[in-house]
Amino acid sequence: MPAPDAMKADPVILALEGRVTAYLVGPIWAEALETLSRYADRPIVIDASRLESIDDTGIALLFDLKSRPRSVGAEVEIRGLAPSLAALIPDYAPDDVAEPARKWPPLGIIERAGRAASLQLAAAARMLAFLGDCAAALLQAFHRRGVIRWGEVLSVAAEAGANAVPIVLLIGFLMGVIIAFEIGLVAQQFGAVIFVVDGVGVAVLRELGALMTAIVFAGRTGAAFAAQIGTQKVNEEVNAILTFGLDPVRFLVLPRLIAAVLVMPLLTVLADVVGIFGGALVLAGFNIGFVQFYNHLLGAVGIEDFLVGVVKAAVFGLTIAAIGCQRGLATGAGATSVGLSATSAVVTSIIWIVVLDGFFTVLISS
Amino acid sequence: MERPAVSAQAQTTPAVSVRDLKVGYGSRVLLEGASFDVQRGEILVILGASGCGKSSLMKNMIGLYRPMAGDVLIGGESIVRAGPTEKARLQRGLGITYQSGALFGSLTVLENIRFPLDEFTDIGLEQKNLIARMLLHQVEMVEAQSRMPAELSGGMLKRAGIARAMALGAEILMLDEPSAGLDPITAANLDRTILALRDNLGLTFVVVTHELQSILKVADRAVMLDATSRSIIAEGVPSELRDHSQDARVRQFFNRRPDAPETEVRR
Ligand SMILES: Nc1ncnc2c1ncn2[C@@H]1O[C@H](COP(=O)(O)OP(=O)(O)OP(=O)(O)O)[C@@H](O)[C@H]1O
Ligand SMILES: [Mg+2]
Repeated sequence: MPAPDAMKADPVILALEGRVTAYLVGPIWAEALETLSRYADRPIVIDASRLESIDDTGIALLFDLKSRPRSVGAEVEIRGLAPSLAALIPDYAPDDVAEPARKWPPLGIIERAGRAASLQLAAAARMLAFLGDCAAALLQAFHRRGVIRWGEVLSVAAEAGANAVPIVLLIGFLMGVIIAFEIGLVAQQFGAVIFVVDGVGVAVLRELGALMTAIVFAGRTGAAFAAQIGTQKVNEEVNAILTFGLDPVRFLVLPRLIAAVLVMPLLTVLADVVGIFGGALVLAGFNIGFVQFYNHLLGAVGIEDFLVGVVKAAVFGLTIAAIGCQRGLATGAGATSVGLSATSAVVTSIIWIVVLDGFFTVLISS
Repeated sequence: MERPAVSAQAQTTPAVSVRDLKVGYGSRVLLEGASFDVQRGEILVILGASGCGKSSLMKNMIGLYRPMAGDVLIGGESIVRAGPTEKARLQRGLGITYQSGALFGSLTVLENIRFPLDEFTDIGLEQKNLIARMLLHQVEMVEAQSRMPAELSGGMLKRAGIARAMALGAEILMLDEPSAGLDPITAANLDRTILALRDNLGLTFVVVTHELQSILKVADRAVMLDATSRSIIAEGVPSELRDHSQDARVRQFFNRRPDAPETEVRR
């Protein structure tokens, strides 16, 4: 414990005793600095003769006290330090371990906006270039055998498709229940409950089946694609593929794109079926029997409604997989950037799904 | 502020004591019946071919994995049978580096070194920064202090990992291949640092390494593992093992000769 002893106009004695270790040094250090600044114009003697043991933090304390700039005649002197401990106090200049100067001045707001915009543009350009690469690889795959690794396609499809069945069933079912209930309550007031069947059928088949499945798919599979490929990038697996003269798009991306295009429509059909079933269950509560529901449904929706949903699903699947893979390949270095890639894959995918869905709606209805 | 109990123990108890340890994964046994002590202030190296279980042994010794059988005492206290709080306290008394560096990817190098100080001490920020920079200086890494781990080379990651392991002033340091991937000069400086810390602070070191030169220079004692016999095949002073071991495998290792040599290379 430092015990400052003011003696006439002579040196101030600061005693360090016992153990000075990481767990104990905090208050000692604070007190020592306080003494140093209180007696800024008097010499300071640090009495280390009763110091038993120190660790790296104690060494840093002694180094700090010794090398603080002081006015002439007010130097800090360390006395009685055991030679074995003295040998540990480094003799480099304090500047060697000084805080590094900030290299760049902070950016102005216009400059920052400009940088952000140019980053976004560059990202869009990279995405386009990536889509070009994918298309080229796909074309090549049609012309030559053996380009597509079907084993990989199957395993991705199993993970992204089969394992997603429970959650798609749950969400599809609840979605059907919810919209049937909400529309049903309103329609009841007008005595038009039977038309809820039309509403549920069209909404589920054309829009919600594909949309909800796509959102689940983006969260489950898009993120997984980005994280898997991102980790491979960070581990230099992608570099290994490149230096074998192979194309990472063909190896990592194509199987995922194909699997997604195959699996998304299947999942959507499942969501459609359970969604409509959920609607039927609710409407049974509104006194519309299953047979009546079925007959009315056949009149209300056609095969084209179903096909619109399925085609959308395939396009959504392609989009999600492409974005996930692109984000994965664009991963920087380190585990943090893998997380960023996965997040950005999900967010970008969902934005694109909604935008594309808008396109589809306008396109089909005009 | 509690501090690790390691130092409170009588000076005669070994810093680390491995008792009849059995190490493995699932049903696969890597090492059986391993027993050795590490005395306070001793530098012990663990040797053995790649894949024979050195890192696994170390992970069992630091309480990361539970051994299949046997016990590990840190300063006389079992880390195997310790409850969660006890175990955390024992582990905090160890300075540990991992083969890959194991820096936290979201923190800069300086913040990585400061991390244990931030978590467990009440030292002021500026002071912690000074401590961290001095530790980095010791491993010649001050220039890289504001970089992120992802921007470092393998050897740099390792050096920063060593600096972090020393931050809390642990009295027992467990280093997994600290000098693999370092250039000879940096590796030699690291050896010098290890010796200085042992000589002046009385720290204890358990080091996994393959660097013959460094083994002969720093190690007081070596323990050699073998994959086929799943046991410790040699224990002793490295230079004596090199010159007088009866075991061909040990001589092969020390003489860098894959084919059992009869003549010995003396340096
Ligand atoms: N988490 C784990 N699960 C299962 N097996 C493992 C695990 N970690 C390591 N192994 C196996 O245990 C064996 C020993 O691995 P370990 O990392 O301990 O070797 P090592 O002696 O440190 O090798 P090196 O010198 O290459 O670092 C290896 O065969 C490895 O395959
Ligand atoms: Mg290892």
